[in-house]
Amino acid sequence: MPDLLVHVLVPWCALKLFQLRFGRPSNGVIALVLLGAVFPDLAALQYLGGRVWGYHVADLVLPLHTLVGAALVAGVGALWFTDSFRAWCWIMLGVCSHFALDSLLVHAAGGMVLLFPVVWVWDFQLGLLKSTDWALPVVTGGASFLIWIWTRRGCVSRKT
Amino acid sequence: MIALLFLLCVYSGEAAHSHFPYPTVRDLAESKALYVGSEVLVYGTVTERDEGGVWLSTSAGTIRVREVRASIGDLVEVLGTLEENDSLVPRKAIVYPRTDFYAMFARSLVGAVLLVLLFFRSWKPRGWRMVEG
Ligand SMILES: [Zn+2]
Repeated sequence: MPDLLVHVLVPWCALKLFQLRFGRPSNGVIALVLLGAVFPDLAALQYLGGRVWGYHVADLVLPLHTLVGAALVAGVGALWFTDSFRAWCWIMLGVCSHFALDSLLVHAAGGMVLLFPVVWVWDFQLGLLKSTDWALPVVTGGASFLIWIWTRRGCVSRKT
Repeated sequence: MIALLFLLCVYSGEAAHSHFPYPTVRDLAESKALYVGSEVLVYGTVTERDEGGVWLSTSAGTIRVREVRASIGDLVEVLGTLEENDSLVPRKAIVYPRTDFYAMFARSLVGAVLLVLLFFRSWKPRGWRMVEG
């Protein structure tokens, strides 16, 4: 995984730019997308290690980092919102952004088993970045800062 | 949905390891001799190094990885051929510098805090539902 900061900032930048240009989506919708953008990394529970009911934790939590598993987690999360289906759709947009970013990563072998449980193929990886690389966080951090300044300027100029 | 997710997790717990394309340290922990000459995936922390490579501390014991340059404390992920004497000839190796590895978790913490702030600025709990505003 790239870090959660990248997973949060990339969709935030994209949707804020969209919002600045077209006046939508609302900040609430953006927050839903950001929520979805971190859901698959609930699978980071694997770093706890160990076993539960005789199964390795890493194997047990693997479905959380797949499309089907993340869609189910998003489904459960969406129940807390009044329009659950609409919330689920936006959360899933975030989930997709998560997998798009994770597909940039390099691994010695393996990677995402995105189509689980239908197909056990582990190679959904473009191999462009290491998860510890600074390039992506620095670029997204810089872009977010510029967009944040831009939105603040917009707020100030609307008030004056 | 929760029941379905639970079933998927149990299925994965049962089947994931056997579907992974390479033996891992988990297999090596049971018997290294069985995998001599095979390609294996190993993940561990560098404990020693010299001109010829590094020694990784893994859950299957210490494994020598040739031709890899890394500092002590770095994390290394290697796909390579296991030889006798617990030595590995790498085909592909990824080195995660120790400081960068911890920085990744620190950035994730910042990301999680940012998400909570942004989320609760737009959504407020009302009863057991979240309401925009
Ligand atoms: Zn991820």
